[in-house]
Amino acid sequence: MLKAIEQHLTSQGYACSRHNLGSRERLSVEVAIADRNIRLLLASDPPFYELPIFALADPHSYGRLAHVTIADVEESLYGVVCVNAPDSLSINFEQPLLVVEESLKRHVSLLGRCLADPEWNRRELLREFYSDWLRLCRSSNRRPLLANLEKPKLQKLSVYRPVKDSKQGIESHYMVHPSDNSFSDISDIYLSMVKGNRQIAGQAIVIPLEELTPAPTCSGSLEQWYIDTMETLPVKTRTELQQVFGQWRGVAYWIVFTAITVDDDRTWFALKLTCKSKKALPLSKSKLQSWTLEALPIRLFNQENTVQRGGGCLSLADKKVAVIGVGSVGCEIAHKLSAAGVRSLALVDPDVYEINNLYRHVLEQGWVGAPKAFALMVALQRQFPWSRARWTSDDLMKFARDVNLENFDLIVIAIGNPTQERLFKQYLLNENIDVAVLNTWLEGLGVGGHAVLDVSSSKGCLLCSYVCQESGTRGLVSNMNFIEPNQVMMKSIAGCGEQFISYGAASSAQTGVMAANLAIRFLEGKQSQSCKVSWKGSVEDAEAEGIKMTHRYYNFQHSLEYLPLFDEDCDACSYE
Amino acid sequence: MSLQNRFSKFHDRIKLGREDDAYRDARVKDNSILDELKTEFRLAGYPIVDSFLQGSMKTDTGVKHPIDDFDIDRAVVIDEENAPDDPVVVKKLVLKVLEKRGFKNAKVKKPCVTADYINLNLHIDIVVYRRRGEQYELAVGKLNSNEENRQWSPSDPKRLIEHIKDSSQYVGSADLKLKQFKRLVRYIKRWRDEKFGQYVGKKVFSIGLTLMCKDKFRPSIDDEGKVNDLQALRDTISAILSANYFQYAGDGKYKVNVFLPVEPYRNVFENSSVDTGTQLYNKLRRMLAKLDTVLEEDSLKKQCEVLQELFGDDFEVPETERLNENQKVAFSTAGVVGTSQGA
Repeated sequence: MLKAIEQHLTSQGYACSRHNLGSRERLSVEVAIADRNIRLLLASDPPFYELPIFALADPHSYGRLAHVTIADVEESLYGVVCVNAPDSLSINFEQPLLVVEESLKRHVSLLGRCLADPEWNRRELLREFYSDWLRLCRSSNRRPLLANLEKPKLQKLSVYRPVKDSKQGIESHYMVHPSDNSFSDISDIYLSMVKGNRQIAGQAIVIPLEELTPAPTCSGSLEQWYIDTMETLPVKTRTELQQVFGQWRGVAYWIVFTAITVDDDRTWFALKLTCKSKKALPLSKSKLQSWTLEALPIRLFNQENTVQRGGGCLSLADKKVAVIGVGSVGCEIAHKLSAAGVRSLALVDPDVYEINNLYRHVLEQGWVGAPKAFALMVALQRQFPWSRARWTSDDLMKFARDVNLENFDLIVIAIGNPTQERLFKQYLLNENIDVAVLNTWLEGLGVGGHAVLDVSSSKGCLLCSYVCQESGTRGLVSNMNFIEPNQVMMKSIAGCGEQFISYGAASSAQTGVMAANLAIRFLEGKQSQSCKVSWKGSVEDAEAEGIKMTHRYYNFQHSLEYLPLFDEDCDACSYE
Repeated sequence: MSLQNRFSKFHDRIKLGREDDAYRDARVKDNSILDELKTEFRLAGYPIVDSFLQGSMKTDTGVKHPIDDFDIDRAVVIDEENAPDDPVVVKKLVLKVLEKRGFKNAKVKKPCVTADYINLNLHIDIVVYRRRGEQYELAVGKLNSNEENRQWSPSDPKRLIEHIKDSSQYVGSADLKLKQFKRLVRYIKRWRDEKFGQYVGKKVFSIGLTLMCKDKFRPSIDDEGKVNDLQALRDTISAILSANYFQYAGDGKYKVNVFLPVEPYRNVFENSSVDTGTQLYNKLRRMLAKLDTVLEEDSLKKQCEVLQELFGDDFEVPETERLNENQKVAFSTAGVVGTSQGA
């Protein structure tokens, strides 16, 4: 294969040769980049399921290059060039010669830019500062220091040890004391703090840097990097470090640095200093001699970073949402709203979690017998540390009468009960209550689900989706439904009181996710108009049961699209 | 308020069902006449084994006539083994009952016995069938018919009703589409009653209109399920005119032919004149043109004005345009409806 690769690259104009490197024969390619002759060594062996690596020979002769890491290959130092994220490419493993050629082109292109454009090279070095920093960390210490830090300001915080014998989870990490008290009362972090399960390990000092230099290339350079960095601190910062934090002595310091890399991106990284006897924080080379330095991985564990990294939206943190009905659909909505960053959720459901619920609900079996809303509140607060979910066992109308609905940014109703939902809408109309409402429900046998967003300042309301499409009167069933009314949909295993509509967890989850998406878009201000949305599933099971479907089902081609809700025959909307 | 809502209100005004208050007197008379027929037939040795409604009361396509009487279309059935060979014998029994009850103009027509009630706007048609298994035969013949014209004629009244009420060919919301078809029949029948003189109007048989409408029915429900009777009526009329119901007779005249889809498969308009066919053809064409005008018109008020020209005063014209006319909430007429909704 090596010969075939050599022949192919040669045919493409590359100067190739084969050399023995250690016990193996390797292909070497000479290329001219930015007026310099560079030798690249094919370091990967076929088959190629990732882009093959070309190692840069004599890496130190080119200065510090971005995206190049020095590594020992067969007892010689080479530069390992990172040309892509491994998962972002689909490799044509059936055509290895083309793969090698493409990889070589990418290596040449990247190195060419690093060598020809020093400013770009410097910016790239800063951009990948944290990646380089991680390479300095001991492989045995990959569990990052968790830091609940919001703002880059000079400050001293406590560092807590992991909970004893904890092998996994957040409790297994060193933790810089949270600077806020916004954690849920029952999150792991908060509980471990208040229970006293974590011992204080020492103190952390957060030092914002105004100017960042590239990360050291090896652990041996760490001390010099530290001294250089401390010496470039502004006088005000150095003075404060000496006069405020320098008065205190310890055998260990966690220094948490933060700086802007490029394009206003901020990075955080940590260094641990340890000493055999208690000393003040060393700020000069002479003071540093008795200290050992260790680069540490760090993971910001603040709301901003964690929510955004998970795809959530910070602007939702202050929104207030009520989810009424936390059955199989409502629980999905509550979960996805929490995951999106909504902290204040009012969970409302009079039902108790039952064995019957297990296979289409997110709650664990340990909650059987508990109020659904309470159980879901605990589950949400346990998963989402900043959740402020609350619960009540009211039904829809009691909740409506007992609370000021206008305090909510959105009311989500997922009870699957058209009578109660219309009653609630009429209550809002009668009481002139101005609040956005999202109603959602699914239909049995996996045929689909629906959601209606009723924004009182725009055309269209829940009753529009109940207008009889034949007569224009107020109907009793939604005109969005896919199943014709007045058919036997309820199944019964154990007689009265045990009847249920047949649908699976996938259907309820799909409906919940669809409704949650709509709710999130509304809360973000991206969907300000009343609208309706449906998803359409297979008709197979319904037809097998002899269930008749609506014209809308057979003609519906707009799954998950937001459609106008207003119906000109809606009496409630024509008042406006 | 939408135009469909206007159609719905118009339909509510013109529809006539057996259980309607307006039909109460007719229903009472029908029931009591049926009781007397049963007695008369039993005493004569031809016990009635079945009876059923025919016509628009059975197919839910009845309309209130602006001027004329209410109709009763009643069928009585006797067993073949008890039936007399001469069908006019049993028709005479019907005539006897009707005359005894004081009906005026009671007479034996070829397919039925017909009469008008003296004190009520009530017209009654009674037909007699003999039944052998699933096979029905209609008693045909007048009092003075010779033997050749007196016969038990194969007929399939129940399958005809089934054909008209069948919704199996509609995919999705089949019941809704069948109801739209029935409304269209009522609209067309009301249009007939408005647009034809009384003499010709009686010759534009309801069953003929119903069968044309059934076979060429073009439902109109948009993808969101919104029903549109105007579009359905327009498309159905267009399809009727494009079909082969109207046979050109030269000189701008037409003969209309509509065949029963069941035994005896006869032409409903077999004995109709060219004048009837021509008038029907031309008036349908004019209706189509008017409906196209309505479809192109934006103003609800103007739309309703044109439709009132077609259907008469029962199709109301709003005083203002579409906004704010329906301050009064219109509720569903159903007390409870089963739904498929859950969460």
